[in-house]
Amino acid sequence: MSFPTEFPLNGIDHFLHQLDPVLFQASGKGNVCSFVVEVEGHLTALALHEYLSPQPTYQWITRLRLRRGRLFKLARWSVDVSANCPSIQEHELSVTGEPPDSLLNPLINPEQESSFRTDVILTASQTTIIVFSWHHALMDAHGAETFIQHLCSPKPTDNSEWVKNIKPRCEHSIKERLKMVRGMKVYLYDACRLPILSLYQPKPAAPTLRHRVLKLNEIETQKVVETARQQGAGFLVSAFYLAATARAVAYIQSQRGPLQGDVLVPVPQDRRKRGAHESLVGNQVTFIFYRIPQAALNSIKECTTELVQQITKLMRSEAPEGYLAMIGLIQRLPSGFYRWLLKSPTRGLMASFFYSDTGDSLSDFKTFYNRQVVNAIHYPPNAYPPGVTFIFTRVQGALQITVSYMEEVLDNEEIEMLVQHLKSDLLS
Amino acid sequence: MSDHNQPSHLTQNNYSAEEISCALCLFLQENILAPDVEVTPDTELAIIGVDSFSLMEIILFIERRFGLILPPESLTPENTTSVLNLSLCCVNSMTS
Repeated sequence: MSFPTEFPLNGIDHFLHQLDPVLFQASGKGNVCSFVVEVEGHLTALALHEYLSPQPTYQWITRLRLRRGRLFKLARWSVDVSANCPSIQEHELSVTGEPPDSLLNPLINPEQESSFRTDVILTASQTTIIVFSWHHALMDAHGAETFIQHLCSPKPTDNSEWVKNIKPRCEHSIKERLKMVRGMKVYLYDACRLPILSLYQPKPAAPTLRHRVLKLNEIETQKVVETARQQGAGFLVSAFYLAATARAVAYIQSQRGPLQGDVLVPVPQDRRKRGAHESLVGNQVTFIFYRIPQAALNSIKECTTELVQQITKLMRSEAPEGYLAMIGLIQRLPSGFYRWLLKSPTRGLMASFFYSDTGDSLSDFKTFYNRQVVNAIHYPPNAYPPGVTFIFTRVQGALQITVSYMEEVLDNEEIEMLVQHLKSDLLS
Repeated sequence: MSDHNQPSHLTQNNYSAEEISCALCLFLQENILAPDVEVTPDTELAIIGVDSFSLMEIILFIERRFGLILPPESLTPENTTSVLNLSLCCVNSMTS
């Protein structure tokens, strides 16, 4: 298998890289994702290092370093041949029984160190928790899942397509692209108009990151799918998840005072071709921006119907392609201006919350390095503001929701109320 | 997105389930699926990785290509399991 030694960041990678200083300035945290896998039996850091480090794909990924862009030259990933594979450290569980915060949201400088790191926690209950973390500019959740499953499958397959950036679904002329970009700009400035509903409360101190994982069993998960259909989602079950999430956030806001503004939420959409594990590196997603009117938040059915209508309308008008065209075009702007542009429509508020549905990619994730998988959880980089991020995942047929939030945005009582409201809507 | 414009001399009632299946398989192969994934009218769509967003793209293709807007209530799990079932659903919607 041959690997490219240098290749540019795509528009979404660049956007996620530029978010890094924005997040750091607001919260002291970076744009780093984590995927935590718990397996049966004890697996030491040394054993895992000896297993991973000889693998060519692992060596290649961990030797990639980000090279900043200059005028007329895009930022690039470049292989540092002199770099060693990063060491794997062993850690202990925190007092709450969860992986320590420092592992779930480590600071990674992609210019000077590996953008992918692995840590191990041995538990007292004869299981091992493996924490994989990566800079969000390197890959998306789907790419990371593919990479991790490839590394630890009994027979890693040799698929060079994994390391290629995919081509856009459709080719457009420059004229068509400019038209799409203009249309997207008008749409975005309209969708992002203030005020928007948000739980964000600016605090002078560095905010503390917390996570809450809601796990449903397979029977409950099936009930959620049935409820989604009854509430008008049809086959777009994810629209129902998002509606329930928006209503839960709005409920917490309503407990604090009258609702002000609509819900604004950008949702990533996977652009990979289906049916094969392709495109490991690079964020192969676009974003769809939904604006849910306050009035639609009154009922789950109304909210779901509103979202299904928006998805249909936005996909019909090729909005996902328009966003990709726009983000690709502005990639060449100077960094300072680019970041100002990112924040300007919402004056830094960005969104009501962030949301992602990773789909069914973990449905068959049952073994890892010849060990039984007990648990697998995605932890998102929690952008602050708005300070609340939801990830919906289906692991071995059961729905799992990770809520990452800043303690300053939701207190203990509110997070419990939010999770209860969400669960109640999903199973209503 | 690669597809074909609706021929002006045809109305939506002119299409058979086989014709629709053929167009849908071609659309899937060219736009949705990875190059080495094969699809036939009977292939179970979920098995080859067709998810809800891909299904939405297929529904919008049907709209563009055949001028047919499928009513949401017709898009049941049974009607969206394979290209053939979806094509039969299209024919039923055209005739009803």
